[in-house]
Amino acid sequence: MMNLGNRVKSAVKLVSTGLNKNSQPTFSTQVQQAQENVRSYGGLKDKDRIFTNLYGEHDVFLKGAMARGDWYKTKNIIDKGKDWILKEMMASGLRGRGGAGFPSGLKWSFMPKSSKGRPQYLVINADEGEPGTCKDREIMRHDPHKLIEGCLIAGFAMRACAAYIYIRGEFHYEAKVLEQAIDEAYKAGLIGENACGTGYKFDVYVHRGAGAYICGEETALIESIEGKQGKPRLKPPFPAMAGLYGCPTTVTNVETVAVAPTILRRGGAWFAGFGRPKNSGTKLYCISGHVNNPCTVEEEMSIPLRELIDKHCGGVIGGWDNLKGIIPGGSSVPVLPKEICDDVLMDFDDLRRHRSGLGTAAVIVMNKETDMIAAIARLSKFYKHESCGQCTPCREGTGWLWDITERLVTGDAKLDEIDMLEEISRQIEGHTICALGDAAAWPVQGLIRHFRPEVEDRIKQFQLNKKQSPF
Amino acid sequence: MIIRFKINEIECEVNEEKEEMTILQACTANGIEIPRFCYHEKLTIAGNCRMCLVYVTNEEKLLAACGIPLDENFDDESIETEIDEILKAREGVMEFLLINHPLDCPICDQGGECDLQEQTLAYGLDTGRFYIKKRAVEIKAFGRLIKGIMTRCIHCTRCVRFLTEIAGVNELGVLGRGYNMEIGTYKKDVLIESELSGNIIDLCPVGALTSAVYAYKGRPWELKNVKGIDIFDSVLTPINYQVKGGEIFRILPRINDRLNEEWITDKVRFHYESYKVIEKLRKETPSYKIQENKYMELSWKTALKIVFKVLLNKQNKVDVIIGSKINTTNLRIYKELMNRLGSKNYITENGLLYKKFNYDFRENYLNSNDLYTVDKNDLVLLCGVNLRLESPLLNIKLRNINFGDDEIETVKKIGIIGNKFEWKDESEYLGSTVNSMLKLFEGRLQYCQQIKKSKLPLVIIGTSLLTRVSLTIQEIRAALTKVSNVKPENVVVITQGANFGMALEEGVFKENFSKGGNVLYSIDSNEFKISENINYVIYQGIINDTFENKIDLYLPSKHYFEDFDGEREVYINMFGQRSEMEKLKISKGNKIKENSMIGYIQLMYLNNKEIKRKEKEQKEMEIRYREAPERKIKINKNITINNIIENYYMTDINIRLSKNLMITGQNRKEKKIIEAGIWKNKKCI
Repeated sequence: MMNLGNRVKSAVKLVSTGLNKNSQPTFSTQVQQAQENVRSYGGLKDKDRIFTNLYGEHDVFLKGAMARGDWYKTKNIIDKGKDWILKEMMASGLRGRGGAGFPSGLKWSFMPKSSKGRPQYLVINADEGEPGTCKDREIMRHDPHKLIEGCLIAGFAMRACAAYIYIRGEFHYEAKVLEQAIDEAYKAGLIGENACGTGYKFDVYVHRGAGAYICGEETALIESIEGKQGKPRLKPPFPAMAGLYGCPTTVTNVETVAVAPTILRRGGAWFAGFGRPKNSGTKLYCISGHVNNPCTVEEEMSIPLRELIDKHCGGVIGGWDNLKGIIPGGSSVPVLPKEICDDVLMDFDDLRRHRSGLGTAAVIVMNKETDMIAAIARLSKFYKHESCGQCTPCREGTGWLWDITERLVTGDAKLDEIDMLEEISRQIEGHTICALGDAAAWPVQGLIRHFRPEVEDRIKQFQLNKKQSPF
Repeated sequence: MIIRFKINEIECEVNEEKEEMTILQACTANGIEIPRFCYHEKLTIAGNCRMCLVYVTNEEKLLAACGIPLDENFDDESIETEIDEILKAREGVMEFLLINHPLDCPICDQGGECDLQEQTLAYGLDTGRFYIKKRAVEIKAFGRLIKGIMTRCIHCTRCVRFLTEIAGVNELGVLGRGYNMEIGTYKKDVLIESELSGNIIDLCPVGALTSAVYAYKGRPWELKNVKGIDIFDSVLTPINYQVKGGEIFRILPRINDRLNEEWITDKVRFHYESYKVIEKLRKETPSYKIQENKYMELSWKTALKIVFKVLLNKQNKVDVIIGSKINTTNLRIYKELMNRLGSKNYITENGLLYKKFNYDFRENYLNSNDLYTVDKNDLVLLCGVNLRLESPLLNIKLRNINFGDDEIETVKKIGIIGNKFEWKDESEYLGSTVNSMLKLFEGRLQYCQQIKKSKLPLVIIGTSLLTRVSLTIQEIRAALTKVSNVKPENVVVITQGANFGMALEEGVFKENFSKGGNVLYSIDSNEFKISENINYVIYQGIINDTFENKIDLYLPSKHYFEDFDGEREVYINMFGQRSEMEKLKISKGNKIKENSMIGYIQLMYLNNKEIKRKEKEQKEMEIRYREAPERKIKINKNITINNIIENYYMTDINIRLSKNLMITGQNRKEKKIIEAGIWKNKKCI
């Protein structure tokens, strides 16, 4: 509720900041931007919000959910058919909200049309372990029916017989809420035999994980549900061909599925109306770190990063000029320095342009109090701890990265080790089975790319004060 | 469709419908070598070493060549394996593999045949830049046979995949994760309970798993290969003896895709220890028992005179029993000898087991189906056979049948009659007595319906059944074909003993053999008990542990692999296939004579003229399936079909004399928690 109050306040601020920002560019760019920036992004209106109970002010369960419009004529949506759902989803331009940003409609259409008697599964990835990310948790504990309805519709569209929601082990309360909501839905006949009166049989199961970060990788998640060690599989075969128990499976993020019913009710075009082309829609942003009011907030895609922080989080602690760097998409994307943060837009393509990524849109704000090297060293430790150890570069490389970054914190290293660190991270990146290798390499690369002088200073300082250790 | 693509500018073609090929296989077929650690042709693909990365046009990331099948996406693409990006990636992976490798190569038994060494030479960096502390893993005990220095492990998981997928035991696994990942047994100090565990030594690309018996004994480049045959079961797996200076240092498999693929059993891999023990224990001269436990040394001349005195004495009734390992040359000579002596009472050691065995028909002891096409069978019935003990290599062939995943059926595709033993989950247990076997013949079991439904059933009949029922295979075949659509060639009989097939071909088998004689002439045969009637025992062989001082005359002879004319000897296995072995000389005593020599001398004494060595023409074995002659059969229905093999590690004198195999057998029997092998006390670890 505090968030709401703040949002109103920051809305007032926005007017001034937005104006300032637009008054800067030179003439030549102005002409170009005139076409692109016909409208500025951000400032999502309350009527366009999908998650209307994000902060848990209202009733979480079925009665409240129905009052908010969930499960409203779900039968009609299903009756329109699989092709219509897929077409609408493609029209909406929704891209996967789990980090990779793959177009969802396309992904759902990969499921085989005839399965030769084998069941097909929908698996919901609710193993939200990315440091800084807390969007799926909010959905599951405050709007579980959005997810369950999404499961039914997405499952129907991809001919799945059941949905497995793989929920992170630490989300105890969320799992309880979700299970209660599923019970309600079963009792109300919304899922189960003859779901929503459509004659379609659909089951939803909750599977609780045991708290491994790697189980958020889709094939590791499937292995984990099967009761094996959560280690990513070699692809191909992709899960859409042989996934859970060897059957065609699609793994999607919670948010992707939870927004689907609303998109289908209001039309794909409505959803595509938000954000820049190819980056359309609304998105839950989780802002944490050195801001006055850390929060999870639903906003339009392509909102400027600065506006997002100033409007919803009450600004950076100590003012915008006190900003040192921002990790825009959860711990696995490279950090951005203040210069880039000034005018970067929060969407897949613009962050990609700055060699970072939207990831899960978990914005980690760090002001000048932060020891950036220590922060990245901590992330390296996290990846070293969470690596599954299956493939060589990740198993051996993450430990090595952590060791070097840890020494960089005190400066107990040689100057040429910075280049070596960069090279090691390149040796890991892209050479592993899953994306954890990349995720471990990127923060370190970001550090070296943007904060190299700081690292060098640290080493020089150490060498002045102390003798270099023999190793 | 035919996929056309380029590898390093070489144009290649793959017909997708005919063969499924991965990039790595296509590269190897076109003579381009791709380094790999985790990939092995016989195992599933793990793709975790990341050594085989290749560049494919239009792909964002480098691809692991071992796991990517060539499909229509590869049409018109080009694959690059020698560009800088790939060389750099390989260097990176090599560096990562080496940073936590102890680099104790001078004392490593894998030295000289280590994939890591070779590939570092070819693809690695010239300098190291890792100077912080290395990870260390404690030494793990996997029993007396396998030494696990797990610090050297590069986590390719070949051993885990072999044991779980092929050998069918889940003892090894991956523990921990990330930097702390280890390969090990889930419980501490657990024996790997597999008859094929030694193969993980061959599979391990580094020195993490090495042979405990061979530890610190030799270096691979000093050893000479001599071709041999595994004579402990009737598959006759081809092996290599690795020899230096008249001593066997270790035994490795020879690859034969039809028979053993790349595997051999633990028995044959580790039995060579016994030859040293035998050298120490055996007597080098013929000896004669004067009193209990007191022997007098004789010259060969006198010894052979005594033999003839005994054999030619008309009051004596002589039983001649020939050992299972004996080679073809000797089979021929001793048959000739017995015929000249007029004695009809001779048999091979394994022949003693059978109740009824019509050896006039070849189909009674040889099979035309060598289970190579076992994948096509859709139902398997095991009758009185514990395949895991009787023929572990055939067992893995059967274990890995994929009954097809298109149709999901709850039908159990494997039926077992006889002793229960651990098998696939899909197996159904049909009973343990002869009665259930008879029920099957009469079609009274429920399972018969399933046999009738299946298109190509396979029935495997073991010695355990034949020792208890006086039926010939022919009759069993006839009964089975009557109740179901089993083809006669799909009734496979698993015989025991290495050269049993050849013995029957040569006719060294008497069906009416009675152990009623009073003199026993045992030619290298140990595995039976001496009956009470016998009052005089001549043992001609290497060493004996079962006769317990009953031997009256002992004639020392040589091992089966040094005991033939010429350089090669031929054995035939239970599928009628010939296996060759080369001559290997390890016996030291110069007074020890070859069995064949003793036989020749005896024959010469009888005839007083040179014997022409008869060699039968080597023709292909033709096996025809004829109908069985009808006869009246009486069968005791209530006999349980127990295993003939009680302890896998006790079946032969050579195994009983191998210390480490013996202890493994005992530990497995008693389910003991193992103590670490001898190698753990060595200082150099």
